[in-house]
Amino acid sequence: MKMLYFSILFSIVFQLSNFNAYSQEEGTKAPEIILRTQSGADFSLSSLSGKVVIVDFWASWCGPCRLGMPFLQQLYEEYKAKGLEIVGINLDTKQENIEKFINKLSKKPSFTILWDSKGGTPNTYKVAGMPTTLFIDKKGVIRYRHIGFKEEDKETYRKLIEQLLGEQ
Amino acid sequence: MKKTFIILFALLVLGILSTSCVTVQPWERGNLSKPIMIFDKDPIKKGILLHYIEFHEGSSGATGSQSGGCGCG
Repeated sequence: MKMLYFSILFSIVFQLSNFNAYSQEEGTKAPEIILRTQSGADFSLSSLSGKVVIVDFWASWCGPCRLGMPFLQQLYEEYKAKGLEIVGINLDTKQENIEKFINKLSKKPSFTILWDSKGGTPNTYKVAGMPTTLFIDKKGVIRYRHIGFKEEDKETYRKLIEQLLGEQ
Repeated sequence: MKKTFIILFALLVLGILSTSCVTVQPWERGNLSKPIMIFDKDPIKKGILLHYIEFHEGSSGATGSQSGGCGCG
């Protein structure tokens, strides 16, 4: 009987070792992101210190990501002058897919688009679904994490941006 | 002896079963979200139907075997 209990415990431990815990990192300092932009320039998240930053993890094959992209561009145009920066981190395996998708858009994103095909940044940020959108305040703290995108989220995004822009 | 063997065998099977589950990360689901991965005898027809539903519901994605990669429900 003891052996049976041991077997069950052994199985549970193995299962837990494979379990990927998706921690919500709201309230913690945003880890540094160092990547290259599509034009080949170096980018680091710390260079945007003092600004409200939206980091959006997306891919061209993901429906909600495609749906959210024009809205992010709209937000960028509305709030850029007030201190908002948007960083889109694409997680496609092929760079040509990003270009194909962007070329299909009626308005190309003017905010920073980075490419991370190796999945380093989503691992660091514990991305649990696509798209994952992070709202980072002026002090570099992750204040809100959102997974997915639908029409109803637009209002929440606006309220949050205005709140974060209003903070010192 | 026989009992020990059965327990060891059960342990081995449990060990294999529990470690054989590979986690496909949300950002690695590009291939899984392709229309061909739709579990249906006619994926093209199903794809057209889904496109129709998306248009009417104002939704997008949530197709394929991994729900288009979005882990949002």
